[in-house]
Amino acid sequence: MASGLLQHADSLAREVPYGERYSARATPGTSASEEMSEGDFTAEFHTDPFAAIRTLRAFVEFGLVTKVDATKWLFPLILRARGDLREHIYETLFALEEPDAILIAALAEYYKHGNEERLALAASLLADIGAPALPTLRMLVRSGSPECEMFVSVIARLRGVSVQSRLAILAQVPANPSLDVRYSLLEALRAFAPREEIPLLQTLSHDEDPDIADEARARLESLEAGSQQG
Amino acid sequence: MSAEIQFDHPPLDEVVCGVHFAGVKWSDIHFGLYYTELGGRYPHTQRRPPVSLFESRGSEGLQIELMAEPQLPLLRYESPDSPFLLQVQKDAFFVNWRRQSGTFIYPHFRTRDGGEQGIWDRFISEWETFRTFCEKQAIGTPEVLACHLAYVNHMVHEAEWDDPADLAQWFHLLAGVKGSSPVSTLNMTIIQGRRLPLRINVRPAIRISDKKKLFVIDFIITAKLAPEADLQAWFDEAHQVIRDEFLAQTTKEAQKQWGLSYG
Repeated sequence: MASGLLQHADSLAREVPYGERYSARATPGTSASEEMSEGDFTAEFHTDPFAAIRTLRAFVEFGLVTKVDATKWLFPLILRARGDLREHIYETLFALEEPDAILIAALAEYYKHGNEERLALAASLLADIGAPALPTLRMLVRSGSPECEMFVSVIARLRGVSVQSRLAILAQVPANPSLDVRYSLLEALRAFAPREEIPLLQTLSHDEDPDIADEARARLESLEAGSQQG
Repeated sequence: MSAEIQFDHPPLDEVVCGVHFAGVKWSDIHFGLYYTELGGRYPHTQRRPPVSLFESRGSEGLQIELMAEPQLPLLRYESPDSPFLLQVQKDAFFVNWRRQSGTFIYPHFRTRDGGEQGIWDRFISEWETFRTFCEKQAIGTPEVLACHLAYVNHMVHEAEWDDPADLAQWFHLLAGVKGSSPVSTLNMTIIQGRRLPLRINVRPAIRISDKKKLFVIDFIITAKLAPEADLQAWFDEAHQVIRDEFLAQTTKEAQKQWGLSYG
């Protein structure tokens, strides 16, 4: 190896003895790709969806596409997919394990096009992801949005998360302005042991909506009666 | 002139010869007219974004170019029967040789006795056709401003390496690479005396044909062609620099495995 070689990083590059410098960071080579755009992915998906997902996963594995981007590109395609393809997209999104990106993509799609199935799919994915989805779900509940409804039962049953942590997040649900969200809490609390659900039932028993308050009171009375009999 | 060398099965995947030119009023319609001129030799076309290899970097910092008209693309002209393809944009012309699947057949840079047409010979022949086409269309005579020669090597996962650190067994310059995630890019410029400046780029990529992970290791020379300079002399010198530096930057063990022979 020639010892007289001048080797250096770009930042230290001096003017070459040929006047103007030309950028030669890349070459118009054609048989390998170091980047993938959403457009590239979508175009391949429309031609061969399974191959496109394989390509996307290869780019993600090699760090050339972020998991967040891959999730954002893939999630919108699940709703129109059927059978094996839908299952394959679902498994890929699950493997990417980006709960924030799943929720953001689902909400964006839902606000744009409606259809609660989008939220239901996101809720199912977060449920399957389990404990790593907890911060995402906590943020959602704190937002007080009406879209929490689909996710309340996911929080109540989230795998790998302690009862205390799940109840701490759910404790914010009674403050949600949406009646449907607060009502969903009544159902979700059934995932807990009777003594664990009592504090939240007590809160709901003072809900401004008489139906929710009545049902919470009825459940409390039933639990009390059950404990006296026991 | 150094002795000719030959590798039986090198990691070479692609060789690109190209020029940056001025003096041609190229428009969208010329892509189609040029396709006709090629007479079916490259029946498939593919539109791509134009490449900017030849942007002068005389001034540093952010440069904003205001464009009144939509950007013209780069068009690839390909043939399933040929390892060569052409790439044309309004101010650049490239001929690529690509490795075909199956047995490795490299035509060499210059045509050798009894061998396939060399890459340089194919390039100059296609460039002459292109120049003639421009003149025939009365859109100007292309004046070469700069030239580009690139040797693109592929180091394929599970063939040449399992961990990125394994690349040091093949390339001296990668001796410091540690097994890392995320995989990063390395760019290095080598200037030796008054020879053409060589750039070596190492970058992760995915092979389009089979989605294999690989490292692309480019040996690239892109430099201005002096007004009185000879195109052939430029490419001969560039080829010599790349050849010498490839030998300098690769390990003896790698050269042995790739089947290096002289003469």
